[in-house]
Amino acid sequence: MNQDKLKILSEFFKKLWFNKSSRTGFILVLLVGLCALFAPFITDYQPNVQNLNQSLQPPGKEHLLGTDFFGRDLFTRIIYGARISLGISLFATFLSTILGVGIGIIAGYFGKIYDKIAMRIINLLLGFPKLPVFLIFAGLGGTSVKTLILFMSLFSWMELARISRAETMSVKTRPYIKSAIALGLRKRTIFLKYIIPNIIGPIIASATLLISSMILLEAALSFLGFGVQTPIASWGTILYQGKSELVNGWWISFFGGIVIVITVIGFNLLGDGLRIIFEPKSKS
Amino acid sequence: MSILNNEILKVENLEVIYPLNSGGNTHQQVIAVDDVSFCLKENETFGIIGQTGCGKTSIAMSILQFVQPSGGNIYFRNKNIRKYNSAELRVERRKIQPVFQDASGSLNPKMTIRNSLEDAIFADKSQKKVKIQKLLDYVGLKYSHLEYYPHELSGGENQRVCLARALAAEPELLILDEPVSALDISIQGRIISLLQKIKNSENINILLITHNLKILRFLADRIAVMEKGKFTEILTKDDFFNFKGGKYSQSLLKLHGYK
Repeated sequence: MNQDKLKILSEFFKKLWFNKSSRTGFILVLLVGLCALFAPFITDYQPNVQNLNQSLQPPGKEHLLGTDFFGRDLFTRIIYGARISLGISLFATFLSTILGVGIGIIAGYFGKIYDKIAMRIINLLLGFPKLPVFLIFAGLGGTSVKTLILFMSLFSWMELARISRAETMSVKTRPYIKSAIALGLRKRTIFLKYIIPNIIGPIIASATLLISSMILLEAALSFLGFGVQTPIASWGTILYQGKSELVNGWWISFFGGIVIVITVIGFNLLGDGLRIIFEPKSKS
Repeated sequence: MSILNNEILKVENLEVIYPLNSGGNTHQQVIAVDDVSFCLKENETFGIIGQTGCGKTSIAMSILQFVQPSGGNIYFRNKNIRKYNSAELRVERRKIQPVFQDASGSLNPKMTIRNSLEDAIFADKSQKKVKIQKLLDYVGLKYSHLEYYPHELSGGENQRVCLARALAAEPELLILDEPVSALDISIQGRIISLLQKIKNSENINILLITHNLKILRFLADRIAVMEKGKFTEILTKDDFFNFKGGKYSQSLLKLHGYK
């Protein structure tokens, strides 16, 4: 059985590599992920240690991407910031996925009133503009990383719920679900062993796409001063600090923005590639 | 056939109506099953024959509680299964096991045959192992088949797995819904032999739904002929195949080359 799983995994990576967009996305995401993971081995500088003598140094040999107003190495702050930005985005995506898939499966499987309530909530939340709502959120809960993750999760699960609901509605009519019900299996077993494994493909693809939205949302909220607070390095706070140095330190906003763009493109390409792998029909 | 008076299943005035959204504001209905009554006695195989779309499967789905009938009652062992609460239903429905036409679609594509069979047996691991071995021998599968996924097996092998899984629940009633229709002729013969073996050696009652006269001739004791949602007649197998039924039964026989 382990060999079978290895075979499936190697087939999956072959498909991932064969598809141009998923290969590019995978390389970009892997590159950013490895930089974040091995940040202390890549750079000798500390992300938050100030050195005013080196203030606003342009990109060069000593500081690859230059320094900010406080003389902190921008490259170091970007790769350490990746830890915060990716960490928050991944965690918020994880929570959104759990919430969305849970609600989607319940709505799709039980239908009737459960479906109606879930769809009303989804449509209601989709109608809310995220940023003004977060202002209220921040007012109530303060501007902490916890509030940020909570907000990002609570307002991003709807698409995943819709996908899970639609997939569950399709899967629940298959004979193997009827056979499982006839065997008297518990609903938990049917959900975990019979439904989720058969709808997981499109969910993974959508969750990957959601990560890029989360990265942008985290950057936007931190840029506005509501998310991660200075001096902690995150991509949003780097952009925020670069804003006041657009003339004398253009590289701060430029490289801070470029890394967000690269990562978002990476996750989008990867998600799109995964979507094609899991749903071959959608290729056309 | 000495204990034919003992009823396992009794269906009374069953009615199944499906709503039909025909677009716009008009809501139409399709009467799939119209006032159907019959009973299935101990050690009996009861066949229902009729054309595709005449409502045979709707009867099976109602008995399995996958479709809520619009009217009538279904008694299993003298208990009205429509009145079970969800906890009772979960326990009681193990006694009625279905085997569908789409054998590979009846098995979870993400589970090996071993996992599918293990799920059907409520016992500890060592007991499960023994029981699976017995079931494999019984339905004529090899031990190595356990590590395969449904898409790696043939239609006939998948149908054997489905039968093994149904038997694993130790049912009292087996509902066979077109069990050989999706298989090629040579495999059909083997599955019919296996079903005969189950009928003869297990203490299982069978409700056989089919439009295949061959399987009906081999397995059924009594036959209900269904047309447009209604039972037109219920006959013994001999009466049916000796042209003692009505016009529709006779035309069915003629259509299939019986003289």
